[in-house]
Amino acid sequence: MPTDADTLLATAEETDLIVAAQAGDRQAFGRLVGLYWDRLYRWLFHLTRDRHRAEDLTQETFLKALAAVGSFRPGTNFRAWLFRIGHNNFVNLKRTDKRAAHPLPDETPSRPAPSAETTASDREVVRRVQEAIEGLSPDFRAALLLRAEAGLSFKEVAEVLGTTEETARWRVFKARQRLVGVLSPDLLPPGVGES
Amino acid sequence: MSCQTVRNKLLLADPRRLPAGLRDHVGGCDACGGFVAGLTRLDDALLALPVPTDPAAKEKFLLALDEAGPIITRVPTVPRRDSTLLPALLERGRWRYPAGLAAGIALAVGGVWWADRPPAAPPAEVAVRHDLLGKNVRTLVALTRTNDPRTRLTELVDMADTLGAEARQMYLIADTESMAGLQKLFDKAVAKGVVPQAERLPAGERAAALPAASATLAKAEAEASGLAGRAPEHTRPMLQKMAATAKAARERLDALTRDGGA
Repeated sequence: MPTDADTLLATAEETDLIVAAQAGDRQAFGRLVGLYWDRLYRWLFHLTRDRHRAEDLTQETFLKALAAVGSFRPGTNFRAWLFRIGHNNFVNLKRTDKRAAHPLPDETPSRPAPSAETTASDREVVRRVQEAIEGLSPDFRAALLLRAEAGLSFKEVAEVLGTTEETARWRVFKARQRLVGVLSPDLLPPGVGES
Repeated sequence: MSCQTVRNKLLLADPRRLPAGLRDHVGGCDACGGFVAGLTRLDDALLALPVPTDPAAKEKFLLALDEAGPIITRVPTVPRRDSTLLPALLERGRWRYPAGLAAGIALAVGGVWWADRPPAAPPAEVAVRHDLLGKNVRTLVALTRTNDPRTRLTELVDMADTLGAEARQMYLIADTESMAGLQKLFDKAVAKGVVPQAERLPAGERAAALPAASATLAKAEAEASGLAGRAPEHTRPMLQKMAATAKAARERLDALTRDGGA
């Protein structure tokens, strides 16, 4: 688990990279891409449920970020800024698909990737979480995953989704409540999680 | 605190870093301890959700970034319809609408509706490298093919909707000049396009044609207004102007629907 000192060092390093990228250093920008690609791609995949679209949106987000990095103020929140650009791209993709009557496909991986550490029970839980999360509306899914997977604060979640912090909290709350409700037989001892 | 209150708070907390007040309760309550264990397992499962990845995708992109000259293009994934913006417009690391785009939009929204001229032959094929430009050139072609106000109204509302969506994509990253250009085009499409065409509609057609257009403008107004609330200072005034333009046009369309605009 990272300590506060690790976090401070990482933040300072990120700021250095941003400043260098603003000065035209492509390698510095490349390191920022390396830092954020996986997190951004995973999140966009969960929103689009389509690998190729998620890859396209990820690329598009970084290209736009590169184009606009000069206007970014170092010391403010780069991660939220980046995810916000990604979210704007996603919203526009949805809009385009809706108008063209080509809804986003549902490309769900057939089963969780096996891992030596995961037990059959863990895999079953992951499978059920996967099913349950697909039942959430995109707004709630986006908020929950920004919080739980990408590790953003509620303030950052609100910035990314263009909403208030209160709404971001509400979406995460309802999404988790729903997942707990769906999964309680697996996740919780009897009697726990009932409201 | 009751167990229910604690669990409501736990739903918003990181189960591995509980605040002291919650930690004290959970430490002495088996049921809530089980709830925390469940939330921890849920968070673990969220992190383990399977995501199909192409490990080469990031590497290809980074390679393109390293090797690219002043212009970078997206690395192809699979053949499909292109997304709204082709991010191949990056010159010397700075975002600029290409001159062709601005010219194309100006061509599309710039001189068709107020002239009320008869349908003309469509322009020769235009080489399009930008989706928005392509869209607006198609609108121009559609506008030149008809003198019917209802068809023109539909095309222009659609264009306003597209320009509004473009503003949403651009407001965080566009420079002042680009955003101002987009706002002027939106204003022109709405104030000099949508409204005059609505006024030209025969009274008998207004009730059928205008509510949908009004709803699109209401959406554009709400969105521009919402974006303005959190936009950088240099793009905020343009979004506010777009919201005001959409509002004024919507009110005019509603009046035309209600009482013929008298």
